Order: sequence, then structure tokens, then C-alpha cells
Amino acid sequence: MAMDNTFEIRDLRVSVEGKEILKGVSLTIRKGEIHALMGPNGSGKSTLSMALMGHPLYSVTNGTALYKGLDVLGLPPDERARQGLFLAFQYPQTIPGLTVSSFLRMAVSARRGLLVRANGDARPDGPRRPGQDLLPVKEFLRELKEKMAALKLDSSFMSRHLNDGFSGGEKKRVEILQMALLNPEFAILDETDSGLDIDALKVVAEGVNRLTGPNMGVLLITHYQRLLDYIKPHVVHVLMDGRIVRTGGPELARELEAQGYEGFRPSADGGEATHATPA
Amino acid sequence: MDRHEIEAWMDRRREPEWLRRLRLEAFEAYERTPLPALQEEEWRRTDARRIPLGRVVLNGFRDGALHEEHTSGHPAGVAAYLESGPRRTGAWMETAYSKRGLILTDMELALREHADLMRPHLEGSALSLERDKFAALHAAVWHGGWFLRVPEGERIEQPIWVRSWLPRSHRFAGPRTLIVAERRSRVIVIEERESEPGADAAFHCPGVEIVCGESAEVVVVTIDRRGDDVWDVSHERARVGASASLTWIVLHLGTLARKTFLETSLEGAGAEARMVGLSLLDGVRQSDVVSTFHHGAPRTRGDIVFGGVSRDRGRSVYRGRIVVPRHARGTDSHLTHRVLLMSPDARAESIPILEIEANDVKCKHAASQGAIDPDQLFYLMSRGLPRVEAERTLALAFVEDLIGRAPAGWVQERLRERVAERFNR
Ligand SMILES: Nc1ncnc2c1ncn2[C@@H]1O[C@H](COP(=O)(O)OP(=O)(O)O)[C@@H](O)[C@H]1O
Ligand SMILES: [Mg+2]
Repeated sequence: MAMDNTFEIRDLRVSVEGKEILKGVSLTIRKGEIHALMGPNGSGKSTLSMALMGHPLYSVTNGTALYKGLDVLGLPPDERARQGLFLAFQYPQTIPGLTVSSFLRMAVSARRGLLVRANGDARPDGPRRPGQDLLPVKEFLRELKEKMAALKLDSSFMSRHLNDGFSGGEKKRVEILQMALLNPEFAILDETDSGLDIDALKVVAEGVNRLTGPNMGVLLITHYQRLLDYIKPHVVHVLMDGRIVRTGGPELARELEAQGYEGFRPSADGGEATHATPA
Repeated sequence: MDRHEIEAWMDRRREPEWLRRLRLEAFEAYERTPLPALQEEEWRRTDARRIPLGRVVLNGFRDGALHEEHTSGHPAGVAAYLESGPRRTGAWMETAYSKRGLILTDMELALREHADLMRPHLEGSALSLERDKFAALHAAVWHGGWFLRVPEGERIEQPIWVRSWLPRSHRFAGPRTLIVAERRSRVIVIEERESEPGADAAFHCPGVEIVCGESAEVVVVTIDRRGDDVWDVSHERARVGASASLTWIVLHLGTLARKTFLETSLEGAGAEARMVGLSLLDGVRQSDVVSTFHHGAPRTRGDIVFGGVSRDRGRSVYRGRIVVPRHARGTDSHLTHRVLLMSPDARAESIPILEIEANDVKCKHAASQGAIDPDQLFYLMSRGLPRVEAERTLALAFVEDLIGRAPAGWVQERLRERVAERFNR
């Protein structure tokens, strides 16, 4: 039984353009836990995050993702988000013409149930006045400024267009800013550490540590050990070729660092997870 | 409608002899000119036979009402304001400006009080009768509209705002707008065109003329949100003098079907013009716009960015023409057309026409059209925005690039507000 405080992925298979990428992934995250998902490039980490968030290109052919007694895989992405699922993208989109603040105001309003009616409709049938179903601007700006300061983002970012001309590190910080505002129950962070210099990495890690508490579960995707120096995972999974081949405690990450991923390849016969064999 | 009817109508309007002559000449041209055929390049996408010419009547505007001024309120932050329609309902101007000769008034009144100022522009009108049957019709029967004159050297910082409005009872209208910005003057004028939709099709045949004197700096913004029952054929033309600069922004939000000619003549050396156009089409509405930049003097610069967003079965044709004759050396001209198609049934067509005879010319054009980016859409939805909200947000972001080219502040805010209003319908 999936409980309100668990996010339970069972035997998930995902194909992209007819090619199977995830070949049966299961894992359970409880609120308050940080799970690290590590694996080489191309092993399917982003495929997992995109499928969990509901990108239409990633087709789920088998499995469930239970949360609050609900299989989120049957919901459109916006409803997953409003239910409290969050993905910090490995490659956030750039949207010229949309300011960071007006975007975030809409997102926050949606998450807090202002933008959307109970039945999921975007708006009433009649004409709608701009801003009528958004969080009051003063309240929003106060919150936004406070969270931006915590992430050392200059307030000039509010009026800039979303990710337009942002450096890699700025984009990642804006992803974490969104996480802070949307206050998710389960967050997937897809390589939030890549492209960050050490100072930015510290700021982001601090942000994540501050947000993670008894009310949030985190799936932290990375392929470097480096991030784990700043964010301590409770559980570490190793994903290779679309399967979780090992699950262990924080020590697993060190093991990986010492000997690389090669030793974790599943054996040729059954695809069962094996223990690392010394080279 | 015949010659006698027009003569009687002009009598009732007590029009001066020179104007009567212009109208009758135009009417002759109207009668001898056939409807544009589908074979004609500029009319291939609009069947002129469907335009409800039967709506044309010489009703005109109620004379008696012209002097009734209700100067009740005026929007904050403007230098002058006019509400123009069959009845004059509001007009206001900062006194300092009226003392110095700024004029903003409706056409009927202007013909009586400022005929001397208008006559040279109406007689030498660039709205050529020979252009097509509709241009001739307009020149013969135009009525209503407004006149703006900015005196030499007058620099007006705040915008001038005009709201022109037609009631349900007017199924035909042919307003004339004349904007004269004299030498070294500076002005921003914004017009909102509105009409009250009726039970059946209406036909509008307006004409606009903008004259930018030497070294004048002029911004003209038109927000067209007439009713979705209007068939519109409009001829709008700007003349830009030496070293003058014109920014001309047209926002098409209304009408059922339009055929719009926008012509800019860069007549003096060093003249500069920017045009920013945007049409939003939804339902079965359609738009056919021809914009021409005529570089008639050396070292002139032109920049056109025309954009469109089509939803439902909205369709648009945009023809951008750049003409550079042999003597227009050192011309620099750019033409960009960008369309966002929000539904599989929406259509857009882009036809650039470059007629370049001069050497030593920089001339570029670019066109693009496409659907909403699925990854951007997913990104917004992954933040909780329902699909329709996310699509609307992306369309507004697309439009923002064009709005950002208008003067910052009041004008941009107005454009944004009006665009959002149409999207939220
Ligand atoms: N959008 C996509 N289109 C085509 N192939 C994809 C797409 N996303 C992922 N893949 C393929 O799926 C596999 C796993 O990719 P990905 O999930 O991005 O791995 P990781 O994030 O672990 O580096 C790769 O072979 C990749 O080419
Ligand atoms: Mg990845």
C-alpha cells in the first residue's frame, strides 16, 4: 500500500521513439529521505525524470508511480505538479518574452489552487480579467524577493526573460528558486550540479538542504560524487542501461568514485544486479 | 448611389467647392474601375466579390451633434484626447498645447475650422484613386475620422490618445484620418478603433494619411479592435520627410476579414521608418495585409517586423514589399515576418517582394512560422500551468517581442492589456 508519505515507483518501463530505455525500475522514497540516483551518461536518468513528470515523448509501457494513493502516471503534467511533484530540469527551457516574475507568479498561483478550478479547468467560461486568479502581487513579490536573496540571485532577475541569456549556473539556481516557491512534496533534481562552479554548487546545495525536511522527499540525480559532498543522501541507487543495478547507503557513492561504473555492469545472463567485482 | 445622391449629400454637409470636386472625380474613378479580380497578384487571397459593397450608404454623421462636447473625463497621462464617432462625446487638450496650435479634432469640425491646413494634404493625397476600386470609393464618400496637426518644432512628450468608435447602426463607415507632424515636431499618437457588432456584416473602408515633416519624430500606434462582423478594406499611407523618423505600430485584434494596404514612402534623404505589425486571428477571421516600403531618396532606412498569431481556423496572408529605385543609394531595409500557429487548422502565408534597382543597398528579409514548442509547453505545464494557460502564456511571450518595440510605459502597457484581453476571450 502506498502511503501519503511515500512515492513508490514500481517496475517502470519507458520507451522513447519505440526504443526501450527504462527496463523495469522500482524504488520507493519516503518524505524526509534523500535518494541519490547515479549512473553513467545515457543510462536513462533523465528518461526517468521526464517520464515521472509526464513528458509526452516518453511513453510508459509498464509500471506505476503511486503517490497519495494515486498513480501519477495517469495524470497530465500540470496536475502532477499541482499535486506536489517537482522536477528541476537538467536542461531548463529558455522562453524569451516571458519574465521570470510573471511566470513564477502563475506557477505559484497554480500550485496553490488559485489559477485552476477544482475540476481542473483553467478558468471560468466567461472572460477573465488579467490577474484575477493570481496570488496578490505584493504578497508574491515579498515571498519571491526573500527566496531569491536566499539563493543569492540578484533581484534584477525578476524582470528578465526566463533563462534568456542566463549562464548555466543561473539557470540551475532559478530551478531551485522554483522549487523553493512551489514547495513540493517530492522533488527530482536532474543533474542540478552540472555546470556549476564550486561556489554556485554550495549555494544550490544549501538551498536543497534547507528545503528538504520531514515534508519532502528528494531524488537527486547526478553522475558525479561531488554534489554528495554537500548533500548527504540516505540511499544511493546505481542506474545502468535502464536498470537499477545496486542500491545501498552513502558508502556506495564512494565505492563508485573509487572504481567507476564498469564494475557495476549487470552480468550478461539474467540482468540481475551484481556486486562490484574488483578489477 | 449615384452622382446626384452624392451632390445632395455634399450640399447637406455644406462642403467647400474644392472638396466637392475631389469627391466627384473620385466617384468617377470608382464607377469606371472594375472590382479587383482574383488574378491580380495583390487580390489573390481575398475575393473582392464577397465584400458587402451593398452596405455603402451616404448616412454620414449627425451634423447637429458635432459641437456637443462632453469633456467629462480624460485618461491620465495624455497630452490630448479625442473620442471620435458619429457623435462627439469627449475631447480634451492641455491648454498650453492648444494655445501653441496643436489641433486634435474630428474631421467634420476640422473641415469647417481648419480647411486651409488640410486642403493641401487632401488635394495632394497620397491615397491614390488609381490604386483600386475601394481607394476610389473611400475618396468619394469618406466621412468621419479625425485630424491631428502638430505645429513646427512642437515636442509633445505625453501620448495623444484617440478612441474612434462606431455604433451598431452604422453598417458602413469610411472614416478619414489625417496626421500632420510639421518640421522638427515630435509626437506619439495612439488610436483605438472600435465598433459595436450588429446582426449582419458591416463594411468599413477607411483611409489614413500620416505626414512626417522634415526631422519630425513620430510614433503612430493603431489598436484595431473593431467588431468581428466587419469586412474592412483600408488604405493607410505615411510620408516621411528628410531626416524624419516614423515608428508605426499596428495591432490588429478585430474585424472578420481585412484587406489592408500599409504604405510608407521615405521621401527625403536620411528618412527612417520602422513598422511593427501584429495580427491575432481566431475563429474564422482572416487577414490579408500588404505593406510597402518605398525608398524614394538616398540613405533611407526601413525596418519592418510583422508578426501573427493564428488560432482555430484563423488565416493570414502577409505581403511585404520593399521598393528601392535606382536613385535611392545607401538604402538599408529589413523585413521580417513571424507567425505562430496555435492550431492545426490555422494558416499563414508570407510573400516577400523585393524590387531593388539601386546599387550600394543593404536589404534583408526573413520569414518563419511554426507551432508552439512542445518542450516549452511541457516546461510550463510541469510547473502547474494547465495546457490552455501554458499555451496562452507562450503566445503572449511570442507577442512580447513585438510589443517591446513600442515606446516603453503607457503605450506598451496598453498594447499588452489589449492583447491579453483578446487572448482571454
Ligand atoms: N528525447 C529523446 N529523444 C531520443 N532519444 C532519447 C531522448 N531522451 C533520451 N533518449 C535516449 O535514451 C537514452 C538515455 O538517455 P537519458 O535518459 O538522457 O540518459 P542520462 O540522463 O542518464 O544521461 C539515451 O540513449 C538517449 O539517447
Ligand atoms: Mg540526463
